[in-house]
Amino acid sequence: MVKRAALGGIFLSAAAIGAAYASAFLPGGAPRWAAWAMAAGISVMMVATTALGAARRGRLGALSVPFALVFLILMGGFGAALALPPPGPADATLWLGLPRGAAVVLYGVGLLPLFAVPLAYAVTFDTLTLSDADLERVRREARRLAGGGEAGGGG
Amino acid sequence: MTLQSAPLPSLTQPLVAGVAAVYFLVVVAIGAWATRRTRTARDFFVAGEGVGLWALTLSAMSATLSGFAFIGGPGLFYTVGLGAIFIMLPAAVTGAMGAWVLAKRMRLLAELRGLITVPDAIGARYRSPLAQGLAGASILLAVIGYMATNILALGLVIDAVFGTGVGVGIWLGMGITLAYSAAGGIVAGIYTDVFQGALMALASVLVFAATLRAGGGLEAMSRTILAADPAFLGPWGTLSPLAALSLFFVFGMGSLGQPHVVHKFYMLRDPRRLKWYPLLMTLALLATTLLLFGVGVAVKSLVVRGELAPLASPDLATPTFLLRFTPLVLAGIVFSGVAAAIMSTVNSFLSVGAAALTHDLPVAMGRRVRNELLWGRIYTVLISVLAAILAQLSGTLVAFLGIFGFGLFASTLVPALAIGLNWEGATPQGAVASIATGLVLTLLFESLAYFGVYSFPAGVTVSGLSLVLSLLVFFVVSWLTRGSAAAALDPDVRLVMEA
Repeated sequence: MVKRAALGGIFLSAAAIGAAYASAFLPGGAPRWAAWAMAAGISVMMVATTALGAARRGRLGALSVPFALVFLILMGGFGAALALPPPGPADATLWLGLPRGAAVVLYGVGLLPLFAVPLAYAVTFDTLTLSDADLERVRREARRLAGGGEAGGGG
Repeated sequence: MTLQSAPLPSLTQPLVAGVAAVYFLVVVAIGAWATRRTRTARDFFVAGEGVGLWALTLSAMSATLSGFAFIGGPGLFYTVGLGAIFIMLPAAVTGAMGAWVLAKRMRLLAELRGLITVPDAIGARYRSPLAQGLAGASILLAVIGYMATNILALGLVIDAVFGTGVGVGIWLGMGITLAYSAAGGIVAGIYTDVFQGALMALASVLVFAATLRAGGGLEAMSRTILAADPAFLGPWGTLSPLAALSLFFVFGMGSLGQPHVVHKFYMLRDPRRLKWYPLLMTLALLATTLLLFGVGVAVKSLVVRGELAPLASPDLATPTFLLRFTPLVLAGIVFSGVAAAIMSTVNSFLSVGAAALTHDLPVAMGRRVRNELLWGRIYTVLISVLAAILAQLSGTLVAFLGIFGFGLFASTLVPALAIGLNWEGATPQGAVASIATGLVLTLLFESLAYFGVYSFPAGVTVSGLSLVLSLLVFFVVSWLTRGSAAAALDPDVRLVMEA
């Protein structure tokens, strides 16, 4: 189920990104929705591709939380950057030394995912990615297949 | 990412040259040590699957970045403002994405099948020598072009530091890289990468601190820039939102198709050590990105304040800042870091390029090279010499060859490799069609754009367009030929895909 949803997400996001590119060929250039389609497409594609790789036996388990968080960070960050007014010469509000839009992009999109996915990968590695038992099972099965002549040829 | 292709300012001072000379001696020493550990083709191409976590991380980081992070990147930031950071922004996600999507499966496949190249994984996944051969040919094409630009950049750095002239710099840099690559193969590459990656991260952090000091802190620099050019610090810089987001797409998703980086997953000694890889890789990439951001902002604010003259060329941002605002020894470390970044990338390209010639193309034609270690070394020399000759030819040709490297890797490998290793429904026909689509469209679109036959609209990058079209072709053709999906999967490959 998760894999099917992830594959659907990748396909639809590729279509959205393709539509954004195609709209740029229209007379007058890319319309305003193109950047939103690109932002949504990228956010869905990055998270769906990661979920496709992380899903085991059709499930994500606890990983669905960090993946949802990353989607919100990417879509929220890009959306805020698109929606915020551009900075002006008299812009007095700086967040951690940068204008608001720049801070959202740099600290939000560029740094916040660091506290979600790489840490989630490490914390859940033994239970959701590759345990000693998983590794032993793969090696045992591979030996059995090779012994039974079922494995394919070398690469 | 384009590397510098114009001369850098002269840095021929004894202290800078001394630091750089020490760097080159350490690289040569590591190469000599590694040569004694290279006895088989598996040692030469995949380090005998004996690499530890730190070595894997630093090596993947140094192969990812090239000299762009130190010279071209800060120059791009100086030119387009914050939009340039969209090249590096995906780094917070790509380390973990690559680990989940590729690392475990490639490492297990390598163990079960004895794989040594990235196209090997494609051949094994689809039972398709054609897909493997096409992937190998795409890699070879991109490697030669990419290498020519990297070697030219290395020649320019050596000329700037030692005053050798660009031609001698090209052959000197190529000679040193070739010596340890041909003799020690990827073993030499990995362990020189460890030294080079550490040097790059150290240089980046030190320079970032220097930029904050020179500019009076980030807030002061921001206020200076906002008063003169507010768009520079807008969320997209001076790029359009579509153009900036397109960079994020290409460098985010494209990271899954860089053979010189993902190839290193084969080399990890213990697959369970992957646990900490994404966190370490992400931190290493972020540390090395500090220089790009710091120099870009600092030089812009110093120019606005009148403390620096406007740059004649964006590539002068880092050298100009270093010569004016940092101790000479730091300039020496940074330029050694630039050489390190370029050499580590060249070494990785040499490895995947030689592997394509020695292994993937013969396998696609139903043949096996008898002595892969010997031929791996011979092809390493041939590719190096060809790339060095190309680097000495017209700058136009080198620039043309360099532009399609990253995009060609991405559009030809991401669908078939990254999606295909995780989707049992992918078919050999889908893989072949997507690789062919990526290859043809990237070459065609880049040629049209480069020679001015057709100008793509603002916001449309050729790499992004080719990647998205090859993804769509992969899905559509796999769906149309879905009846052949099950027959294309060997039981042991299915086992790895379900692991």
